[in-house]
Amino acid sequence: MDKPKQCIQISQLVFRWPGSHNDLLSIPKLTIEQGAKIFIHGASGSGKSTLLNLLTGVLTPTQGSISILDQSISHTKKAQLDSFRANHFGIIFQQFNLIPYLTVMENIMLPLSFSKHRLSKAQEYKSDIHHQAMEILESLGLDEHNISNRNITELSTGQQQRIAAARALIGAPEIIIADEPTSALDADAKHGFIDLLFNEVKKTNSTLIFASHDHTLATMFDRTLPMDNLTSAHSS
Amino acid sequence: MNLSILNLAVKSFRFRKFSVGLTILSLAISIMLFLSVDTIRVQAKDNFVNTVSGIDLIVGSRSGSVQLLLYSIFHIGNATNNVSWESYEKITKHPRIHWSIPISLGDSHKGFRVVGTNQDFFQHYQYKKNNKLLFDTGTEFSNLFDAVAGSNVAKKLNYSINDEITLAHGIGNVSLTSHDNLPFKISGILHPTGSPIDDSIVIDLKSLEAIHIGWEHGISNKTNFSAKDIELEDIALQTQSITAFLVKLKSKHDVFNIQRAINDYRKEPLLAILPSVALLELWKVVGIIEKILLLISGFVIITALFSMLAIILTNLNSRRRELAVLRSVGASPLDISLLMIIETELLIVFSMILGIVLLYLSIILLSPILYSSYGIAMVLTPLSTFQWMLLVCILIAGLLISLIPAFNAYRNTLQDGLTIRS
Repeated sequence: MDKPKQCIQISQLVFRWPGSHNDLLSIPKLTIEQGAKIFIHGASGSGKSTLLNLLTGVLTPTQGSISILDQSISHTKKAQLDSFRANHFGIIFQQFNLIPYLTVMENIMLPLSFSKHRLSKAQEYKSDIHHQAMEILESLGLDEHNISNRNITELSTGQQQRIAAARALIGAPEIIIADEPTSALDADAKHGFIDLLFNEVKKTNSTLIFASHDHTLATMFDRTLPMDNLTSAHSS
Repeated sequence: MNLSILNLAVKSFRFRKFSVGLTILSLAISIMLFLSVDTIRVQAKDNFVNTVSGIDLIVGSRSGSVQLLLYSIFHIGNATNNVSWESYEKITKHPRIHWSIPISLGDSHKGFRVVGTNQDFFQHYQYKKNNKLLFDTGTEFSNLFDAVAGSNVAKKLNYSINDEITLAHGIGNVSLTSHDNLPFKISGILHPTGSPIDDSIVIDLKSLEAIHIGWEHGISNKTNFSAKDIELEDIALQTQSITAFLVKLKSKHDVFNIQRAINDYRKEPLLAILPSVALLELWKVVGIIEKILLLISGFVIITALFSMLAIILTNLNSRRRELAVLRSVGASPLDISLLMIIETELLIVFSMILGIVLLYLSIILLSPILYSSYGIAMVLTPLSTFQWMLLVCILIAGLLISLIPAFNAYRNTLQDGLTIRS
């Protein structure tokens, strides 16, 4: 595989909201290798979402630079960032990940209709993308025959989260961002979900950025970034 | 990519069937209202302008042209003067005149006008683009004291063939002087025409002359005069004067020549008018109402568009999460705005289609009722250029309106980024 060794490179990053005098976030240097599983730990309001928004290019850093897959996103136009994000990121939210008026299959296929890059990548892997989606569902522990015809609203939170994971994984994006994906799940389901997710990112060698307030999960990951450290550095 | 957004819009509609359906229905009804007001307006004008058709000139004593039209055709108001029978005969002998119908007004029956005329009336009188008078029951008058009732007269007074009626001297419901010594028998009832004929009783000029025997000075000097007496005495029932007459020329090219000749007639001050011109002139007065109606239904559409906007904006708040999810799977803020624009335009297009369907349904369902009660004949016609233009205007208005939710969604998406706010 000709994937870059470095997935994310941050240097001298400072972020503060316009008009505010306090730095919300300050990261002098951070490097994340391709395929790493990173745990971002912090309470809600600690700046986790801000960091994720910076990594995905939704927010622009006040100072410093962010490179993703050797491309500097802090100096890229918004419109280009939109397609860059569609091509290289899979995103899972805490809950309500699915579009209620689309079927399970349509929800999973959604990124492929917004990113030609991911579509061709998925087709490269297996020309029948429908079958591929079913395969992912299956390896995430869902019985696709049972699920794919059901209404989104009829599914349990655990099932919905796994479908969201399938959607993030299809087309093998380099980076999977998961923002509190397990906080709506009970303790047993949490570990099961993370294990399944790990299996899948391993197959595609995707980098997993996993944010949660639940520090008990930290041990499962390669590396933990406590938000406290990232925010306190410049606060004095 | 646009195809997938159109696809999304359609699927999101299907998911929100009920609220989307109501929005479409209310907009569709307002569009139908406007289109039907416009259709009725155009067709009512058509009907009105063709109240009397197939004649070239209306002739009466000299007055205003609208006045002559009003009393001779619409039976509104009175003639200031009559036309002498002598002039009528002389003029209608003109070689360029094809036929003519004499009309004599002045008497009434329970508020309905009595029209004195002759057999030519049934043979030649036309309404609504060359429709001849038809009988629902019975036939035209053949005896001296036969009368033909218009459809409304028969319906309102519940008359049928062979009913006896008496006429009153003068116009109005309450008449002190009547011709009750000479009752008439109804010989026929006319089919609805949607013209003032429906509210008239048609009798022979001679009968009109007969009931006025002894009325030369405006009041009766002989009473207890019966039908038998007239027949027995064989009084020569010669008409002295009529109110107006309708003229059909052999060739339309002569219309201005004959009109001028009649207007210049030496023996009597007469006025000849072209019915279509006078009818159009009169419509300009009546037509104000049509414009007001059109204006009102225009406002109804504007109101519906605004309420649609309100519904879309309210929905937008509850769809914030959905839009953030779309953003997270790769939709750009522009895609999201496009989704809003497509959804709004789809709403409008669906409303238009439904509105047009409702318009034609209502014409099909209502036209028999309109025809039988008001004599307005509605025809199914394709949409006029004006109506198409209106629909295009609504589409453009919708596009402008959709920019508001599109902008809001754009702003929200940028603000929310990939964070989901519940």
